[in-house]
Amino acid sequence: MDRTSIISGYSVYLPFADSSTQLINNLKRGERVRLSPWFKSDTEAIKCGFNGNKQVAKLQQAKDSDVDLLQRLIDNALLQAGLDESCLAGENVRVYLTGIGPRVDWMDYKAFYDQNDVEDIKCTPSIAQLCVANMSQDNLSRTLANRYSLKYLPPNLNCTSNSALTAIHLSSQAIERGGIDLALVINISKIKTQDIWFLSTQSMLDSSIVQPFGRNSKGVNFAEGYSVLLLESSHYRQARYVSGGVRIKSLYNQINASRSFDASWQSTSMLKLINKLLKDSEIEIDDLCAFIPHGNGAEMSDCIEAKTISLLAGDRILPVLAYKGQIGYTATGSGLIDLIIGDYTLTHRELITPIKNDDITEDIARHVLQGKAVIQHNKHHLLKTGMGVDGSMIAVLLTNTDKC
Amino acid sequence: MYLSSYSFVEPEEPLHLYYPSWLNVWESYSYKNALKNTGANGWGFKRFGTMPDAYIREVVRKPHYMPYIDAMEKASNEALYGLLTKERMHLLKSRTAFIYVDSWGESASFEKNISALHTSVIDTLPKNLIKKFSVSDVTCKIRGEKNAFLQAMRMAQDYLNWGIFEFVIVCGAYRAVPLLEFTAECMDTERIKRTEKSTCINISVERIGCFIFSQRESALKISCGSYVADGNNKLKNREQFAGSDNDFLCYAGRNNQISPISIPHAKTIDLVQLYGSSGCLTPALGWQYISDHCLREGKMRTILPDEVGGYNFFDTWY
Repeated sequence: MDRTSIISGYSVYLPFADSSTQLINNLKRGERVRLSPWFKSDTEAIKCGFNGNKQVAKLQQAKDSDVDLLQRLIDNALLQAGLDESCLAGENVRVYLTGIGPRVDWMDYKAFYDQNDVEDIKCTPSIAQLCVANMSQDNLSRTLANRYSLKYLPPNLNCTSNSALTAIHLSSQAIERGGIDLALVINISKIKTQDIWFLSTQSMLDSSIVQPFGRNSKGVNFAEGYSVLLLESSHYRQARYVSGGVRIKSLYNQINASRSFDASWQSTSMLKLINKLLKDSEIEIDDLCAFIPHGNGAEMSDCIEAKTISLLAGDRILPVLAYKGQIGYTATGSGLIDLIIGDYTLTHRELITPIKNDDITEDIARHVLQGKAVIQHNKHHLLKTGMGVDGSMIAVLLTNTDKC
Repeated sequence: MYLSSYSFVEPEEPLHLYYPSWLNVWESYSYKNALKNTGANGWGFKRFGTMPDAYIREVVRKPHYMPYIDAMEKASNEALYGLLTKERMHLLKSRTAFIYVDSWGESASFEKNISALHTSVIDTLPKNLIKKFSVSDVTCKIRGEKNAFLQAMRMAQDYLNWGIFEFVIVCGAYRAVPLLEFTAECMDTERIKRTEKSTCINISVERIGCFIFSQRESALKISCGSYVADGNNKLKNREQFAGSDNDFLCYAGRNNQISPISIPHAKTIDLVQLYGSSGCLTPALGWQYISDHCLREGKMRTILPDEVGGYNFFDTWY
C-alpha cells in the first residue's frame, strides 16, 4: 500500500475559540469573532497615516512567541493523536514553524528610531523594545528544539497567506515519499501595525462588512491565532494499530514565473491545479461534500476564486463553505484552521454552514452555503484551496479513509 | 547533496567605521554593550548603497536600498550562469524550489523612503528571482538571525534526498542594520563579559549569496548535521566532535560560546575574523575559503555555535 499522510491531531487558540472543540461548537452556535479597534482612537489612526481606525480580532494574552501556549497546543495535538512527546525526538520527524515570526511593532520605535535622548527613553520606554532579543526567531526554534529534543532546529516558513498550507504540502509530500513519518506544523499569527499598513495597501481593510464573496465586502476580519496540526504517515499509524483518519493530498503551483497580476490567469491557474488534483485522485466534482476556498472577503482574491468556482462547478452545485467572515482571517494560518474544520466535516459527516453577513455575488450565490445550520452528508472528499500574495497556489484534497 | 553553483556578492562600497550619535541614546547604549560583550573597541560596516558624500553616520544608518536589491539580481545571475548551459536549461525546466533566507524577517522598515513594492521584495519574496529561475514549485522565506541558512540547507537536503525536487535554490540576503547588529551581540547572557579591551574592531559585511543545490555530482558535496543542544558537554570528547577526517574546522560565530578547539590534524578557521560577520550567511563563507585557497580533496566541517552552548553544523567535501 502506498504511503499517505493522515491528519493525526490538532489544536487551536484563536480569538474566536480557545480550542478546536470550541471552534466547532462556536461555529454551530453561529457565534461571530469579537473585533476591537487596533488604534486607541481615530485620531491616532489618522496620525499614523490611516483613513480611520481598523477593527481586528486580537488575542489579549498571547505574545509573539508564547512558548507555554505553544507547548499546550502541541501537547493537545499529541494527545489527540495518541502519541507521546518522545515521538518528536526521532530522525523521522520534521517540525515547521509558519508565519512571520516574532517581531517588534513599528509603533514602539518608528518615531524615535533616528533620534532619542534619555528623557525620550524614560517617557517612551517602548523604544527599547527594538532589540533582537524581542524578535529572535532562533531563540524560539532553539527553545522548541530543546523542549522536545528535536533532531533539527525547526525553520520558520513565511509564504504570506499560504505559510501554513505550504508547510502542510511539503510535509505531506515528505510523508508520501517515505522521508518522514511525522510532521508537526505550527502557525503563529500575531498582528503588528506594519501588517495593518500592508493590508491597507492591498485594499484588504476597505469595508466594515466582511463576507467572503459578498456583494459589498471589500475587506477581511483580520485576526490573530495560534494553531498546530500533526500529520502522520499511514504506515506509522498501522504500526501502532490505528486505522482510518482523514488523508491529505496536495498540489502546489507558484505562478510568479509567468503573468502574476493577471486575474483571469490566476483563476485559470487555480482551476488547472484543482482539476489536476481531482484527476490524479480519480475524484469527480460530485464526490466532494464541500469546497473551502481561501475566500477571505477581500474583493480582488474573492473575484478570482469566484470565477474558478463557476468554471469548476459548471451546471452542477458545489457546496462552498467560507468561514472567514465569521471566525476571522488568521493571515498566515487560515489554511490550517480550514483543514481542521474540513477534518470535522468529513469525520462527523456534517456541513456546518457559516453565518451570513452580506448577500453573495450573483455568479456563485447558488454554491455558497450560508445561515446557521448543520447539514448531514455522506461523501468522503473535501477540497480546500489557498492563495498567497507571493504568487503561491495550493489545492488540498481531504479524504475520509474510515469507510473507504 | 551537491552545491552545483554559487555566488557571493559583496558591496563595492568602502568599509565605514561607525559609532552612534549621542542623539540616539538607545543605539549608543546598545553599541557600548555590544562592544563590552565582544571585547572590541569599534565597529566597521560595509553596506550596499552607502554614498561617499553623505554625513558619515547617515552613510551607515541610511544607505540606499536599490543597490542591495540589485545585488540579489547579480548574485542570482552569477549562480545561474555558473552552471553549464545544459545544466542551466535542465534547471529551468525541472522541479525547482526556491528558498529566500534572511536574518531579521522584516528589515524594510529601516530603509529610507522605501516603496510598498520594494518592501515586499525585501521582506517577503524577491519575485524577480522567481521569474529568473522559472520557479513553479514551492517558494518560501526562512528567517533566523544566525540559523536561517543552515535551516534552509537542511530543507534542501531533505527534499532533494526524498526526490521531491531536482534543484533547490537558496538565496540569502544579509542587511547589516547597526542597531540590530549591536543588540544581537547583547543576547548572549551566558557569555563572560570581556574585561580586557582589545585593539580589534568588529566588522559587519552585507552579503548576498545564491546557492544552487542538487543531487547531480559536482565539486562540492554537502552534508548537513543535526542540532546539538548541549555543545560544551559534547565538546569534552573533542576528537569525536572534530572528526578524524576533517582537514578544516570553520567557526561561524563571533566570540564563540563554544571556543574554537585545536586538533593536530585540522586547521581551525574563524570565519567572522577572516571575512567579517554576515549574519545568517556567515556559515556559507567556508566555501569562499575553499575557493580563495584553491583547496582540493579534503573535508571541512563548519560549526555554527549558538548563545547557549549548542551548535549546528554541516560538512563539505571539496
